[in-house]
Amino acid sequence: MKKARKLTQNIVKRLEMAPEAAGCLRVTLLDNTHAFIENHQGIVEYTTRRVCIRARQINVTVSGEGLILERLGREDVVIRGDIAQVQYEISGEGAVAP
Amino acid sequence: MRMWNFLTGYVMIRVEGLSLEKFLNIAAEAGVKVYDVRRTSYTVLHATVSPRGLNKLKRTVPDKYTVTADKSAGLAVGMKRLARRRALMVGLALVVLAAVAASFFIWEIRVTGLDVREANALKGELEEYGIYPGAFKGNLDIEKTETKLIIVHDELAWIDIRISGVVALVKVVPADMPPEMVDDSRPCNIVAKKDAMIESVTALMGHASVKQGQVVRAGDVLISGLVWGEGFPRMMFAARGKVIGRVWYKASMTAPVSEKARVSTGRTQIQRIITVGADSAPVDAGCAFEVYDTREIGKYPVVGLFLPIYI
Repeated sequence: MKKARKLTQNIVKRLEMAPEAAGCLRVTLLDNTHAFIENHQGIVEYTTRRVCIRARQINVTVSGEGLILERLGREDVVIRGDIAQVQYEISGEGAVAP
Repeated sequence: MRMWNFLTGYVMIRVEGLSLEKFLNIAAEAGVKVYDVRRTSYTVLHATVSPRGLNKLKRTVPDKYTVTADKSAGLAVGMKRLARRRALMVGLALVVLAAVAASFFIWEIRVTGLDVREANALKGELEEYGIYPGAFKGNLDIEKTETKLIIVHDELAWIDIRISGVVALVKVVPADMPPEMVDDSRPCNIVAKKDAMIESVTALMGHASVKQGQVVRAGDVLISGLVWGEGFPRMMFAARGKVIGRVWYKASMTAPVSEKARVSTGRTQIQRIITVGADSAPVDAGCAFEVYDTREIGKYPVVGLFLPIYI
């Protein structure tokens, strides 16, 4: 599985394609009020102070105050609120959503 | 709420259950877009979905989650509710139809460039050409009317008729009339029209009969057209000249010893009146003052120039 992912990454790199095409997580921050997260694989945890989102290799945790999920779709999520911290956590292949 | 959601309608839902993250993941997997997710407690969250999304959620979400619709809103939902009230719909349609029908007619004629009396006379004349309040706009031949009016009225230099909404705007430019022709061949005198004291006399044709400082009565000859002297034949002209005199006016009146005079307090109150065609109705409550003067401040169309409704 790890080999297959590396191979995909190599192909994307050689063909100069956008990394999202290989399923890479893309996090875009707007000030500290909005976080756009694309290519996610589900919500691990959601409270008004902490949103944890699962991706292929890593988990992204957005912490702050008054966090709401402004939009939640199959591949993207928009978090709004007073964002204080964005944290990455290597989850490996074994990470499971609750 | 996004404009698209407002147009298509949306439902605010309340979800109860344990592990609400899993509910969100199920919704996302089912292709249901969830908006404005707020977790109010460990077991309760509020969110917004489309009406179709809610149906989908009810089918796919396991029974351990209770999904209840709190409120549905948006244009589509509102229209659906409205569609159920047939009488209201019919009323609305009638109002719209009436408004559209009313806009096919002329409701007011505004004449600019003439005084009130002349403007009223012109309005009467316009009526003959089919331009009057209540006339159907489709039957008007503006250009023809303008041309005919210009031909008939020598005293008008230019007429422009423009239909703006339900108002016919008539712009008139009066012509400068040439001075009145004087018949030189008929001998005549220049006589005083009023009692006056002569200030100056300049006789261009004829003989000045008065002098500066002289007091004349109405009817006295000022410049005579008949000129004769000893050794000369009598000559008769149409007298011409310039006579300037001082005229006095007298007036008298009696005034009572004491008189009541109305003095403005400066306090004002605005009273709005809505006018539909010839009918009017007050918008505000009655006047709070016992004695008052009224003055029209302005007349504003309520919906542009589209309808004959003013406030």
